[in-house]
Amino acid sequence: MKHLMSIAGLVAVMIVIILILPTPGSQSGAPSSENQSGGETPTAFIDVRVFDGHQVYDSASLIIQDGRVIDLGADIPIPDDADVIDGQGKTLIPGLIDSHVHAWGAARADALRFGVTTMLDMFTSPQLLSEARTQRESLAPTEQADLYSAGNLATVEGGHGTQFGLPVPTLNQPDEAERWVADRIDEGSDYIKIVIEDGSDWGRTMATLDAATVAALTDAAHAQELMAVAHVSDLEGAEIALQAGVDGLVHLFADQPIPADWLERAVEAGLFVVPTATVLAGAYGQSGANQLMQHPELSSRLSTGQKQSLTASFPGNDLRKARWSLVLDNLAALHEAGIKILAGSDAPNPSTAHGISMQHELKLLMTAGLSPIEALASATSVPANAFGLQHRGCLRPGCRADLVLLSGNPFANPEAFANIAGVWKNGHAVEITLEPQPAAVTSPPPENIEPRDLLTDTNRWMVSTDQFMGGNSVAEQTWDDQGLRIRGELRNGTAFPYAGSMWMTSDTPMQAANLTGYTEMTLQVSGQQARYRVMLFSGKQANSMPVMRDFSAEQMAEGVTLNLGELAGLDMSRLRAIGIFAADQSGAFEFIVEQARLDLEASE
Amino acid sequence: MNTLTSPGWQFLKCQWLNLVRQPAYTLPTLLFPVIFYAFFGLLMIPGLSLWLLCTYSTFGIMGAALFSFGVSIAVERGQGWLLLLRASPAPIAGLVIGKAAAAMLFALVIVVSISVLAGWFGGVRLETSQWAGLVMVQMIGTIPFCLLGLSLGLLLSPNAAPAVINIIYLPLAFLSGLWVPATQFPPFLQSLATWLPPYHLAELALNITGAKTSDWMVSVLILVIYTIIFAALTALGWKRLDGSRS
Repeated sequence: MKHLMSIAGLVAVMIVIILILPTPGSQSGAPSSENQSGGETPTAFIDVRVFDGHQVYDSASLIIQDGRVIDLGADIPIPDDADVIDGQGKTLIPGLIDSHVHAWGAARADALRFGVTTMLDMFTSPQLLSEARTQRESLAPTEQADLYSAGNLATVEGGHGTQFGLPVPTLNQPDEAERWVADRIDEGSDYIKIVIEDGSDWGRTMATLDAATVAALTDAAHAQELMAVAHVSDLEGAEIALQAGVDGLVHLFADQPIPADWLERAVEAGLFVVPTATVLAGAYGQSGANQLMQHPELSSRLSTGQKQSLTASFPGNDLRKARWSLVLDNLAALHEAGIKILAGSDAPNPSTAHGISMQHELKLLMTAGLSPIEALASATSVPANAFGLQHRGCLRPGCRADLVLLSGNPFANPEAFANIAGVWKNGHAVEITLEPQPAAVTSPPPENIEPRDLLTDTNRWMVSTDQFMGGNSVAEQTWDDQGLRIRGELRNGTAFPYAGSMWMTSDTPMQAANLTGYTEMTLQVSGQQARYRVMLFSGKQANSMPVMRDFSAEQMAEGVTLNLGELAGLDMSRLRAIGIFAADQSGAFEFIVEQARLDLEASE
Repeated sequence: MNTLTSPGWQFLKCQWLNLVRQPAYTLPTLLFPVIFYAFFGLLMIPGLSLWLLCTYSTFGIMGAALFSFGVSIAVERGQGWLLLLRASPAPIAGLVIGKAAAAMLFALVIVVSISVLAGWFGGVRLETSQWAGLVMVQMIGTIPFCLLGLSLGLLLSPNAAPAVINIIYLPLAFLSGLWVPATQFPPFLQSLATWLPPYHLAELALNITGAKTSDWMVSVLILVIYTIIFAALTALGWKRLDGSRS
């Protein structure tokens, strides 16, 4: 009897404890309100316009705590201990979802500064996926956007996606599809991306997956309850994708107007499209880089890496300018037909950058006829819905406290989308700390700098070609009294073949040297090639994206002077190499570098 | 008064007396998971206090089931106690029920203790129904591990059983992502984890607390399958437990 009493007593005590364990409503009793790991002080936004993913509340309060939205409404009680933020004249929107990125390096931090809190990657190294998965399941404070990813992409040997120097597991036959998809699942892919790209829209020929393999991949993905999305660039590819039954296209195609019957069938199939109008704008000579970089609020959030990718340009993009109107027409046609549109940037391709390019994308979607609310939904609730992302792209109770506070009312004045007053991730305000100014791991600047003739350093010039990126172009160099003579052949094999020579700033190739003080570079090149590309490699990492400038043969023959101070993204304190390349047109080439100088402004 | 004389109750009482009178033997089972949670869940890995509440409570109840059940059965077998019981008119089912009830009682204490830490020091906030649900899931979740412990206790030699159970216990807990979330494992370990019973019990706990949404029916199904397998092993062990061996 005595023992029964003690056991019953123990059980009763346990039950009482269970009943008094802290619940979401409990305010006090937690001695740990300053404890970092949880039980945080709620934050209340009051008197603020709120877009909850579907509708706009003109004046409401929104309360977040412990990484989630806990209440939203016009007339809700504000907890006594809440940090109150007055949102009068401001607008709260869900953290944006960029539905087409390639995320590595600083991508997730770069995106978060612009209010992109979730990124859907469409090809990156699968090694990043496990960490990304853990982080996105957590509600802990973070300075990085959450990431979902396709991991490796599905392409044929030598097809689009294999040119970047990353090893890509390719496939060629329908019967390899099941195994290929299983391998992606093992690597942690969240969905499958299939490349259908014969290069025809870009003026070249590339190997690509055939329709049967695309269908087999789609079926294999669906059998494993994974979504399948497709890269296409023309109607032919879009037709293959549609017939295979993919869930979405991750680019708009603009080789011709979209036929009405295709639209009808796509609507019926429930296909969604990530138009990536931003990257197409870059490829069709409509880069928005300058406008974005001049925006006072946006430019203050740009890192060096972002500036570099934003100001980089696709070779030959100006040749496609005339076709830009078709891009907008096709986008409008998709929208009018009622196809789900998901905003995506394809950053960090040339002329795009993580985060900031979503601003450009929203603008382009509105240009094509989406209302501000529809454009915003395409970057929040629509992708959350299409990709089954729970608690994202919304601001209702239970949703993740990923949000952006905008000054002004973007629904009345869409320019306000760019007026970012603050970004919260997992309920914590994101600090806008850009990378610290480089600590001196580089050599000190040369003391008495003098104008420098780079052609005198003959052994610092090294042949460089796209073989570095998996291409097939070749080159060789010789010296004669005219200067540095480079001969070779540009061959197909990568998206953008190039070959030429690079001047290394140090005796060790690609090692950074401090060349601050030089303000101008002058180049003079003669030869048959139609276009030349100058690349300047600099920055903390040897594999940072180079700053690129293209010049015509006439410009180069006359001599080109680059103002080094005006090249966004160039870090003269860590200059690694300067390269001069023949680019863009296949075939044999020969050119002579007659002059290559670094100058001080004062020396002229 | 009938309940008080029932064999199940008598065995539960024995287990209780064992705890009260020989705390050195049973207390570690209760305290280790709580201390581990305080150390790893609250101090070392910040920001995962809810997630680790679910996994460390699974770790705790697994220990309670395997040790208070498996090891004690093996020890009692070694002492000839099981043999004596079988020879006596005492219903053997009473022994099993009593020990299972004791394991669940331990589970209750462990889960509530970890919950107290999580709630008051880890900032975890759950609805009362979720707290209770977590406790219920973990108490019921002792069943497959009781059977695992029982079958090992019966099948292995009395001397080997405690060692083997220890050897199984810790790696099984680790590989199931009970110490460090399985999502941080390399892919091949992740796929291994999805085959282990503690992983699925933890999935249910994560589900009920809202730390992770997953397909709970799959986890229940897999746990039921393991329960059947362990029950079959137990029956096999029981059959072999005739007079000739002890």
